[in-house]
Amino acid sequence: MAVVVSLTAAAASGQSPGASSAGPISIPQIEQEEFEPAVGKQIRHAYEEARRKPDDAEAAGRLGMILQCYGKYESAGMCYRRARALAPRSFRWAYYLGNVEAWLGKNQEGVQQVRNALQLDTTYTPARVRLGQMLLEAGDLEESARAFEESIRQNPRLAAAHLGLGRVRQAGGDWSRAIESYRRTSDIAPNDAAARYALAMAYKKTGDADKARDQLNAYQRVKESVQPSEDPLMNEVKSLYMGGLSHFAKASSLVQQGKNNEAIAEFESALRVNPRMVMAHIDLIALYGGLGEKDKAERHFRQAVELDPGWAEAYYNWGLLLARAQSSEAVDAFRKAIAVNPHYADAHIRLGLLLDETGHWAKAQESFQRALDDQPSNRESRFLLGRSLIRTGDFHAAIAQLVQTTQVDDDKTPVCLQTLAVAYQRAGDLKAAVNYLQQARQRALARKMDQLAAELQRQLDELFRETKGQ
Amino acid sequence: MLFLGAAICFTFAWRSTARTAETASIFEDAAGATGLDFQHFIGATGAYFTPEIMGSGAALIDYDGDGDLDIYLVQGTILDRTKSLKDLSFAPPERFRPGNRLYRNELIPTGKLRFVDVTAQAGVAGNGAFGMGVAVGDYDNDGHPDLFVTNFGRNVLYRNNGDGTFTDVTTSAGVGEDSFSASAAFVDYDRDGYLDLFVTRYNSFTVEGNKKCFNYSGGREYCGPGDYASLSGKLYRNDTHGHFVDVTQKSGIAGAVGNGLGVVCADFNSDGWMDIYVANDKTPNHLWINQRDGTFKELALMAGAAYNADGKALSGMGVTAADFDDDGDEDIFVTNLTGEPNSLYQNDGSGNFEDVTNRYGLGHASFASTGFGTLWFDYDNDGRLDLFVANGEVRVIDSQRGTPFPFRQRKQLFHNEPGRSAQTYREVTTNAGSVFSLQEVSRGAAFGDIDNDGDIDIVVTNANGPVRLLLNQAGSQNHWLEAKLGGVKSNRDAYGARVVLYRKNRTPVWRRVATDGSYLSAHDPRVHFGLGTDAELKQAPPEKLLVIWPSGAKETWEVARPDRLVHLLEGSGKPGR
Repeated sequence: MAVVVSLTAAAASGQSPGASSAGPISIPQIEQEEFEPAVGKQIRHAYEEARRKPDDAEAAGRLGMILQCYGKYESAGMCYRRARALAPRSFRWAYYLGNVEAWLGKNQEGVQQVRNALQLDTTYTPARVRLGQMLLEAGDLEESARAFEESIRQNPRLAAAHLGLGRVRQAGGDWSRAIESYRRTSDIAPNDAAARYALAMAYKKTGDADKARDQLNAYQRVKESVQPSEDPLMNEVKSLYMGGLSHFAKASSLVQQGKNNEAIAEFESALRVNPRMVMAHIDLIALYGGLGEKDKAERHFRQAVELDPGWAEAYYNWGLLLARAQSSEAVDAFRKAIAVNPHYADAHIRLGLLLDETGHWAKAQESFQRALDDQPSNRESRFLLGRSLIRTGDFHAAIAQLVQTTQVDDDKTPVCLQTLAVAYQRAGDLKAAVNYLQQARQRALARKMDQLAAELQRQLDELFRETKGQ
Repeated sequence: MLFLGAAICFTFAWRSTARTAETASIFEDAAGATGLDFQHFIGATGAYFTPEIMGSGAALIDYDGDGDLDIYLVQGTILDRTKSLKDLSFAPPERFRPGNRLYRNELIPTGKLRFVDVTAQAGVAGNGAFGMGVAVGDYDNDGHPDLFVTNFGRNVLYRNNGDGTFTDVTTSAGVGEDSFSASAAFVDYDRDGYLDLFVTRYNSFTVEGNKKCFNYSGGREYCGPGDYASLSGKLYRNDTHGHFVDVTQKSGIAGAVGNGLGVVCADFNSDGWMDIYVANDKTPNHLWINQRDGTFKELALMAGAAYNADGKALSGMGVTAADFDDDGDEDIFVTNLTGEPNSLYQNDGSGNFEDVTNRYGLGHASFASTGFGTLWFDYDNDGRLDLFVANGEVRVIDSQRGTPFPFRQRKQLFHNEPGRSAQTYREVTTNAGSVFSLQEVSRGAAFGDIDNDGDIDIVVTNANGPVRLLLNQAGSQNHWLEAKLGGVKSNRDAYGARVVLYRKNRTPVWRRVATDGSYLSAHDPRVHFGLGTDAELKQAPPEKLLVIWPSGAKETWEVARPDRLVHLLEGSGKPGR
């Protein structure tokens, strides 16, 4: 690689119009780094373009944008400074440079560049909001407030401006006005998790516990959703991302929505971009397995373990598929998952279930206990252990485990109570058995689990008869 | 070693010059000059095993009871047992020796700060596992501080025999957990006068299950915390007979998992009982509030200390707790990843917190750094708590790509300056000394008055690099007061005791006896107060110290003179209010 050509002073300051370039841009790291194929192609193409056209601001700037979208802020900053020097009247390069400087911890430089940008174009309100955020991070509350207020005057529907103003008001101790701002943010962007959280904390501070709790619940509901973006220029940077992760993230979201066929398509797209993405292969094992397409699932399983044998999840998902197909190889798959990761609680549980079903109760109990050793709060493994102990006649040990599963009140609690009752019954304590069965039935009724409640009533009737017989 | 009644003092020479605005070099690295020749080793073989980029820590411990602080340093190793030195990605540091090391401080009795490696005699080289952190506490109340070493692997408890040697009592004590442990803290959570033990655990990474992880553009990186399942912390109750009982499940600690890295114990809700705060990496931080019945409840979310102001879980690594705003309660500061600000949580006195990072000028300053070891401490003895952060990346720094260990960053120092509008912490790194211009992969930081001159020094560990001994050049130019507490009904170390210094014309200043906090490290148990310049001392002379003991008792002592270490024994003061 050619020796790095230092930037001119003009390029460094980004202020002197008409400055000529001092040679092609040089970023040695691009040569040294390993990229995903599509990403590498994109970066290198843009890099070569920028080197071929050393006086073209667009070429330098576009390279900067591509580098920024992959988190290469130092290199992106170099490109933006070059673009600024070549096109000092361009708003974009000043704005992008300001953002990157802030990301690199150079807050003052970032503020200055964003101010420069706003001098070039006063109408791009998201930049003013960004300025407000940077000033807030620097602790300059007065200037920050000014930036947010001006932003709101220009565009009252910018949620980020209201959120930022709320933060400034909060920092100044004006909680009631901070709440106003946070509420306005939530009105504009109901899925803005930061606003919900800020509102919850503000209500808590002002003593309104009920509203704080409501907002915290709202925050929990929206915190995993995609947060709204109001900055088209930054969206443009993000849209340049060509790595497999964007498809992967989209696929994961589709899975959460239950859109499995679409998720499969996105995971396959991720793999076309990056065939090394083991996580995509692993998820496809589960998805194809769910559709009954064993061959495809197996293909992805083999590819996953070949690429990286360290992913216990590949063996686990394969084991789930085999277990559904009632294949004896499922045990081996879960054992392999555990060999790779001895702390894999779910694998211990699934292995334990298979062993339990085939009458290997002692080994099953070992597996359930192993899951508990790593995750003492794992209710499922505690329940399964308790149930298995009933089978082997260890009623008191079973009771000790099952009692702990009844401490939480949810849809599983009636069954936990029912099983606890069975343990007491087998241990000979019919009174306790009746007590827990009654509790189970009450909980089932409260949760409108009518079928279960009916079954529990039948069990109670039998138990009463047994008790009377005694 | 016995404490003899009321204020027995060790006087040290102090310099009564007026304070200069800023000295040319606040800290100077004296590791080489004092014989502290430790080099950390990560044993990297190109497989990107997670522990390589996470460790290790350091402890300040007066193991021989001679009145000066000795230093214990934790070492890494080659994690892949099928590999040897010839398989390394890069050669071990020049002066590398395997195993943890204990260095005895010869300040007392020679008067010269010098360290001698006494590891072999002491028997504390570790068990061959990849060492992570260390906690110090006199768990058996015999007057000799003991060592608990956390590992990626089996943890180790060394009991101090009081004769310069230690015994590995891990098995008999019941604390040999074998997983990925990080920071640990001794804490008397049940107020029975014996130190219990809390251990953070990071995640379920194993060498066999090592995954290949990549960054956004497809380059190989160390895996993040979420690439392996999170784990809960572990709580062990001291049974007062040299053994610990695992009460993780019973106490409720098992009820929440995270990627625990930092831990600090303090009474956050001011009810007289010790609580536990855990900094988690990319999962919400945990605030375990003591229910006073042997159990804890995790309340960080409602308390406002789980997330940052945006409701995001950040990459918590190091943590410190102290009363930085002098309002009598314990606030929290957590160090985070590059691209995330460090977090400052201000306590309202009842255990409810607000993220005030930006308000105090700490927001943007940490954006470009990944912070680990940290502590609130008064470096210039002006009476206000400053901040130090040991930085070092966990992801490849592009501009360092192609160098052997491309994760190097600078340490940071922040000066607490109330009165400047809208900003209270001012970064003074550029004036802090040449060691602050070094780019290293810093991890642990242990704080204490190592040269017994009345100001706080720092031992900083570097991943795969030399240890640094940052000797404070500035603080001893101002006045100070230190106190060493001894519990009688309380645990012997008096961990958790709160000490209040009353000065004429001034707001009282609160400190806490603690060796926990920071990252993987343990500190000087003496509490330290800066008293300022001659003029400030004259205007606001110290009057008395109030101690709130872990047992609940309150006592006071008069403070006759500054610039000395006082020993305060439980039961020897006047009843306080």
